[in-house]
This record gives sequence, structure tokens and C-alpha cells, in this order.
Amino acid sequence: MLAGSETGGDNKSMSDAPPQTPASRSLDALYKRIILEHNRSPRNARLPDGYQASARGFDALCGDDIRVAVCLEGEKLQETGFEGEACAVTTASASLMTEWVRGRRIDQVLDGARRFRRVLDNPDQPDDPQLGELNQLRSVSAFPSRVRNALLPWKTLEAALAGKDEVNSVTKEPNP
Amino acid sequence: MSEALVNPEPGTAPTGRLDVDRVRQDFPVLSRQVHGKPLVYLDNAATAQRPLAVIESMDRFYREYNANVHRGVHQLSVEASEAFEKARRTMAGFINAPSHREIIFTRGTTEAINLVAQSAFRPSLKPGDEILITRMEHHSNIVPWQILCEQTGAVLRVAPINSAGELLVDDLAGMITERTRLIGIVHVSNALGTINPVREVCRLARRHDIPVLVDGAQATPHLEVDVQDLDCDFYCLSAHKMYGPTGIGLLWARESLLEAMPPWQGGGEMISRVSFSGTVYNELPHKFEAGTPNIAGAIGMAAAAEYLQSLGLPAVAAHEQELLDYATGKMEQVEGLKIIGTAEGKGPVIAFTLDGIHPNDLGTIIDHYGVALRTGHHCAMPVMEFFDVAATARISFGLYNTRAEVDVFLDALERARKMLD
Ligand SMILES: Cc1ncc(COP(=O)(O)O)c(C=O)c1O
Repeated sequence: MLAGSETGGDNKSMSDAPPQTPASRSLDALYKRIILEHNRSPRNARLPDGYQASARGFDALCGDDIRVAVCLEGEKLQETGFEGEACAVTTASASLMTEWVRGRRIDQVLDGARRFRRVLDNPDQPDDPQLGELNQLRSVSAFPSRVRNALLPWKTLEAALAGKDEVNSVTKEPNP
Repeated sequence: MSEALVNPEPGTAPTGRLDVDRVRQDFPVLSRQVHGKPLVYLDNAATAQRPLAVIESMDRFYREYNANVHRGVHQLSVEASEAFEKARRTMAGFINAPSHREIIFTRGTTEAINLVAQSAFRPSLKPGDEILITRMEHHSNIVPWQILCEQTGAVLRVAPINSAGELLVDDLAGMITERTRLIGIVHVSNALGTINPVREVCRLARRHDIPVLVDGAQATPHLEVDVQDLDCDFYCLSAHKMYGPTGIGLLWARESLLEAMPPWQGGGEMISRVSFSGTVYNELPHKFEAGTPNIAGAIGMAAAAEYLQSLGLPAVAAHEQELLDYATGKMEQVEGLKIIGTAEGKGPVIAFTLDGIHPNDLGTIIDHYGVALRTGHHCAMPVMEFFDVAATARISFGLYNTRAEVDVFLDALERARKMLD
């Protein structure tokens, strides 16, 4: 799917939405159909048999707790899966990620992670053509408190590929 | 309602109900909009909003008599010192401390607990000594003890709670040994709302001659606290939870304990004479207040205490309990909603989970309806673990919240569910 083909318009909750704040800040932009759909039926939501690398991604602040595991064939990510408990943004991001990385080489995946971070950094970034459907998650960039969620699966995958067991996306606790 | 008191004569206990409409006007932030909707602030357990009385007291200090305290003969310094020490007396009165010399200003509850751990216990604790706390403590009443245990070889023991989130007092009693050096207990739990039977625990501890530290961060906004009646030994609070500024709070401790404790930070203010052959520490409370203190903060905290006293804490508590009961009743009817923390006696805090919706998503969606609530572990990860949840959503009421706001929240909850369904 190409950027721009997003399907927020026919979201049934549209009519219930509060008055639209600047477009990208709207709830419907965040919970657009593709994210809801990947949250409801995440792809690759199991650890692949015989995986060689895995890591746990834990966000103590939000309670997101996932594991990402990879089957490698040489330099290529043959199959990537995840499991755990997480919010809709993390789950959809993990689902989209596992699809995107399939068959790509490690260096391409790491480059993808860099590009993904860049588009999430700034709501005004244009789509990155390399990222394909992952661009759908760009809407998260308008919700600074949720960017960490979209990044968690990627950080976890990077940790797995680097041979680390765990990433902790929280370095600092806020006050309760 | 008509006799509700915003500015009664000092010291008069109001007899009437809280006039919430009037009280709301004391809080400028409540008139703002969030995402085009009126703000509904239900995150009071994280930090409360500040009334004009607090904002103006601090503003006045900065505009009219800003100076360092205890350091100069000039007029501004005299006025600042007087206001600062008056704030100490006000706070002593607020918790009915026997003497203002027992009030140590700190950055907040966290610093107060660390002060006690490092000054009162670190020098004397032996390997195998025990610190006894409860399962429902905030991280700030866990981690300082863990650090202390690492430093001294002491052991941290944890008294259990039941599935309602109530402390099992008999179990706690059974865990007391001759090695128990301190019992640390939260007065009102921020994660569950539970009001702990602190007086009973203190009575128990007194029989064994064990001091009790009470984390009062969530208690002072809602309850009249009387440290003599509780018969505890250390009491800690944070101004920002009780409508005062951030960065200030206090430790109260019995004078005999404070006298025996060494200073924990060195610097100016806490000394009476310094020479390289030896330094003489200042007397209480200054011995524990090294460096220039948070003067405006102390003044603001006292203004907050006076504000609460002017409304009358019983009236505040009655109003908040009504909201708690109303919201609890409504939320119990929401399908798939589970309230975490159903103790018999609760402060105005409702933590919950909603089937199929992660608290993160709930928080984001509800925010868009102007409703501020808290999601996550609430700095009480052992509590989350006990209830086997990674995170909860939490609403917590303050004196300015209304039933209508509860309804806005419930409506937003329903919309969140529709959206993610
Ligand atoms: C029960 C409880 N104890 C301690 C604290 C720590 O207070 P502070 O962060 O103001 O030091 C808080 C809140 O943060 C709390 O809710």
C-alpha cells in the first residue's frame, strides 16, 4: 500500500470524534483503520519455530511487554514474529514491522529502523518511499507520548539482532 | 451550599458542604480547554492543581520581599526569614506536630524518606537487621530501603495485602522480630486508594519499641492528619499533592530522634561554626537543611495548608467520598471494567483495567475529550505484579471535581471502547 491511501475517512467512530484539532493530531489519524486492523489481527503474532535470535522489549512506564524473535538465513531475516501484551500502537507497529522485514538483509533492516525513527521524529516529514506501508505509522509522530510505543518493536528487533536479551525503553521514571 | 466557606475566619471549622462551583474559581487552570473541550482534571494523585492563594503567595514573595533567609540584617531578608519560619509553624500546625523544630523542609516525600534512611538508620544498621514495609508502597518508600539494605546488609521484608488491596495487619504483626528496626507504611496508597490503619500499626509497633515511618503523600490532601494522634515517629508529605508547589515537602520526626540523627548533607545553613579543626552543626531544624532552601516553595506550601484548612478537610473529604462512591457505582456497571483496589476505606482514587483496551490507548483517547487521567504502573510496580497487570488506568479526584466531570469521563470511556472495538 502506498502512502496517501490511508482509509481514515470511513472509520465508523468518526462521528463520535471530538471537534477536529489540527488534522494530524486527531484521534482518527492515530487510530486509523490500518492500525486498528493490525491491532485486532496482528500478523506474525507468534515466535517462529527454531528462531536464532530474540529479545524482550519492556516499557516499564506503559506496561508494554513484548518479545521479538527472528529466524535468519545467512544475512536475511527469513521470518520474524512477536508475542506479548501491548497497546494498539505497539501491536500494530510490531505487526507491520514483522511484515516489512521479511526477506530483507540485516543491514537493510537496520537502515529501515533508522528511517522509521526519522519519520517518527517530525510530523512534517514526507513519506519515506523505502518504508512502504510503515509510513502509515507516521501519524504517531503527532502524539509525542506515543512515539515510544511505535519504536518499541524496532528497538527490540535491533537488540535481538545485536545479540542482546532485553531492551528497556524506559530510562527515566516520571513522577506518579 | 450557601454557607460553604472559601475564606472563613482563620481556624473556624466550616459546618457546611463544600461549594464546589465557588471553589473551582480559585483554580485558574480549570477554566482552560484541552483539545477544544473543557479540562477535566482527574490526575490529582499525580499532582494537584494550585489555587490562587498559593500562586499569589509565591508571586508576592518574588515581587515584594525576595531575599535569602537567615543571612542578612537587611529588611527584605528579615521579612523573608519571618515568612519562611512562619510557614514552618503553619505546617507544624497542619499535622499537629508538637514543635515547629521538628519540621524539616525537604524537596518532597521522596527526599524525606531518603533523609531518614541515610541519617537515622545507615549509621546504626547491622547486617541482618530488618526494615518492614508493605506490599503497596510507592517506589519512594521501597527503593531508599533497598539502597540502605545494600549499604548495611540489612534485610527488607514486605508485609502482604489481600485481593481487595488491604494490608494484612496480622501478617505484618507476625513479621515483626527482634531485628525489626523500622516499619514503613503508606498512609493512603496512590495505586489502590487504600487508607491504611496507621494508628493500629503504630500501636503494634510501640509495643515492640519499633519506630514507624508514614508516607503521607496521598493522605494530606484528603485527611486531617494528626501525627500525635497517629503516634508515629516519622511523617513525610509533598506539597504538590495538596495543592501546593512542586519541589517542596517536609519530614516530621520526633525531636528526640532528630537530635540523635547526624546531618545528611553538609553546607551552609546547617552549621553554626565552621573551622578546619571541626565544625559545629546548627540546631534543629536547620541541621538538616543545608544550602539555600526553597523559600518560595515553603511559603506556597503553607498557603496550600491554610487554604485546605479554610475549606475544612472534613468538608473536602465528604465531597470527594461522594464522588468516589458515585464513580465507583457507575464504573462497576461498565462491562469488562475491573477496579483494582476495593478496600473498605479508600481515598478518592480508582485504578482500573478495561478488557481488550490497553491503558495507553485509553489514556490517549480519553485525553482527546479533555479528560486527564493517569496510566501505567503508578510507581508501584510490586502492586501491579500482585494484581498481575502490567499497567492500569487511574482516575483520582481533588476537591474541585464534580459529578458532571465523572459523567464526561464515563462518556469518554464508552467512546474509547467504541473506537477500539
Ligand atoms: C504514596 C506516595 N508516596 C510518595 C510519593 C512521592 O512523592 P514525591 O514525588 O513528591 O517525592 C508519591 C507521589 O509521587 C506517592 O503517591
